[in-house]
Amino acid sequence: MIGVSALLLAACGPQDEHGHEHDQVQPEAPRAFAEAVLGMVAESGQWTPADAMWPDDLGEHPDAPLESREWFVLLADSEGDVVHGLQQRMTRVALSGESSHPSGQGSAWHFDSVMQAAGRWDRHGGSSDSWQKTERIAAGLSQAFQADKSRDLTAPTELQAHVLGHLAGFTASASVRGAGTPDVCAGSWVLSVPGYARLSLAQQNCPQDVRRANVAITRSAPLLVSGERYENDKSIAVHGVAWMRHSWGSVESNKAAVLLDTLVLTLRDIGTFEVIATRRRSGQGAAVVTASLGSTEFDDVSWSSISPCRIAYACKSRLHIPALDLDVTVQALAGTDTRSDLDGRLRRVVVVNGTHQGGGYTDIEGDTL
Amino acid sequence: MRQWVVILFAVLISACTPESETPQPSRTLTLEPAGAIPATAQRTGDAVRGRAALLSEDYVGCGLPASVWREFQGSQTVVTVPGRTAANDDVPYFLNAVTNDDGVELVVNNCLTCHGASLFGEVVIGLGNEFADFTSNPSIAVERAGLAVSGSAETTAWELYADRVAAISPHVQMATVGSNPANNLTFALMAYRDPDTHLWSDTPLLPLPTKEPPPVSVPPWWRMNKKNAMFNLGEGRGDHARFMMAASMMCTDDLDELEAIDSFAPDIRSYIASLTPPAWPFDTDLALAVEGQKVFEKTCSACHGTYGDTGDYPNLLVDIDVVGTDPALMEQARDEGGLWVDWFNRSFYGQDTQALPGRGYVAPPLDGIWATGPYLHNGSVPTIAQVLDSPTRPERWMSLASDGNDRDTYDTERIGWHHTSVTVGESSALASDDQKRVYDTQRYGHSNSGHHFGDALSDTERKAVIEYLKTL
Repeated sequence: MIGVSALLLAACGPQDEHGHEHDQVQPEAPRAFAEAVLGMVAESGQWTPADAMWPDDLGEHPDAPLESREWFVLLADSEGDVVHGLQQRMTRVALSGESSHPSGQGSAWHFDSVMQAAGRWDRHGGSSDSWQKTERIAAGLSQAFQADKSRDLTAPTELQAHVLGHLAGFTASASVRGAGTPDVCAGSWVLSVPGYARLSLAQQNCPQDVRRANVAITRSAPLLVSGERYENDKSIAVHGVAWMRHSWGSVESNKAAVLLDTLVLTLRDIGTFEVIATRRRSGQGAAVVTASLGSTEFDDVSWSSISPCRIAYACKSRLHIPALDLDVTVQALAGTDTRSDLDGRLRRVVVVNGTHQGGGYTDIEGDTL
Repeated sequence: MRQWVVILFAVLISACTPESETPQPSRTLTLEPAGAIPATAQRTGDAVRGRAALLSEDYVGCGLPASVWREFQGSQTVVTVPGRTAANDDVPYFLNAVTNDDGVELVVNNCLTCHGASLFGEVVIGLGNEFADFTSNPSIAVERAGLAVSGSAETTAWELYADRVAAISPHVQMATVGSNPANNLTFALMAYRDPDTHLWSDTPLLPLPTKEPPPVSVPPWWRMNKKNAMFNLGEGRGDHARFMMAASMMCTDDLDELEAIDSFAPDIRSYIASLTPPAWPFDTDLALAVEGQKVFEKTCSACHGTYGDTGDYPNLLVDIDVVGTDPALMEQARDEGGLWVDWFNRSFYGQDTQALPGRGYVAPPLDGIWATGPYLHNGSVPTIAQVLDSPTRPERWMSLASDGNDRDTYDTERIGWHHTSVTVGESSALASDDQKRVYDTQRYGHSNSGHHFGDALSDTERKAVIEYLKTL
């Protein structure tokens, strides 16, 4: 059995496909993370398995040219000393000005306009075997869209066929129990990654809405995870915690005057909070870092990258919030990326150790330091 | 949006005239003695043109790109004032829409950011905003606004604004919602500018002011036609229009621009001097008010003047040992003001003006006092009844009004906004946002001490005086 410390040592281990370098990770207290996260989840209530449903309708914002959902998952096995990280992403790009589908014909997230991506990390290291190909398609669509050529893509195209081809073997589903919209306070999603895992993600609390420049975001409260993971043809019961991020709007600008990096964490004895850092693209001025926990804002916050990662906050970082007596190390799990040229951002599952334990995800600009 | 910028008029400090050829300014200052402040001639101006300039001209020099402001504003309601230019139709009364030299449309704060407020649903130009929230770091919001900035021209404009806000931010954050950082803002801006060239320096040229600004309650403009000197310490002597131009310290970076602003500054001053207070909107017991006038003229008029057609205002600076109110503003001028006064006297603003802070506070005219609570120069006393009866002043209190629009939150008997007293324990149990609404008189600069002149009055006399004050 591999302990948490060993897993963390591997987290930013071999250089990944984005050119991230090795990151030296100090051994952490065994079981600390799993106990912390699972303890936190246990406090939030008993999970009841939900019926899986094929996508009902996740396209409640069909007018937006770009819409995506990401699920960030941290898992521990029944012994609590093995951590798995997983990110799954569904992205809808409007192929034309009319992206929604007639009612009664399924989802506005119809598969002819959905890209999926999955990245994961486990004892064998990172993997993103299915997402790169779809990513290239997505990038092409995005470029077409940004060049305002999307209205030319009204008829089924080779690109669409290509997308369908890649999605045909992908059985991931996401649904909400009952007839409600996805952004309800209860319900669950079922994520299925062929040959890897089948997981139910149950909502325990209401999501939170965030508005940024040209994108609206709904962030779930921590989701309670239960299911099974496949390893060497064996099914292993797993449980853990996850977060869902749903965004819609135009393509997030990578031309803004500032870079925006965020970190969403759920920590034991604190709860879920967000850290936001902005840096001027010009390099002038100091980074502005704040944190928000419920309605409380903290502006005395330090979030700094720990070398040798070349991308700000991408591998390992230190977070210090004096008002919360919080001083932790944030360790990204390599391989859980679904970085996309659609919005140019890098999102990764993270684990946290230090004065507080837990996990969450980064959502960072991805610019080099 | 208001917290993105803190732009306003300044309190400036004076210096003794140096006699040596190479004067070395001292950080400390000898303050002006108490007594009547003499009148000085003011430049004439056109009040109508002044109103238009106040609500349309760019006398600050920087702000958010309008496109960015609109992005964040979304569909939120915009409170406007009538009679503005077409370009300002859709911007709030405290912003001016202007176009910079690069063709970027900006929204820049105007004077009404602090000197305008909504009162029972109507914007009153000149009413100090006693609900403005300066407790947050304004730089955070401005830097975040950069997310919606694109293109080189917009970025250049935004970055200028962001730089200036970042420089002053540490010095303008208040402890309490409603308190204003005017003095500290001015000192911080002076510290970054060369007084001779008015050029901005990326590093401070003078010591920066405290990061715990003494609070100021914004005085109403409609008293300006009576005042010989501006500001609480009576420091603004000479040409008032030049003092009012201190709002330009934010981003006006050369003398030509200042000259251009100076061309319409007397018009703005004339407009301000033409303002009259809003009338008391509730019932009045006129017979009781007549009785109150007698008590007032016997007890209060020596400092605050008389009113009506034959009214007279003495423009009196009252010694700190006599008035006994919080000394922080005066002490800041005395202990740190020397260099700032020297800066002022050497600058464009120092022409035809004198900054002469006094060893005490000016007893203000009381026209329209009903609308200007909370009271004393630092806004430490929530109602007039408590000003006149010092033992009843709350040590720690929280206004029950979140703005000036709800008539039910106005205390018509005591004059001022309804409030509640809170204990230390109750205050610390509040959510952090609510804690910022608690005015704690134990804080530096927040004391509610002094002005005991009403304590000797009977309850009946006090009530009568309050009734009279409603009529001013």
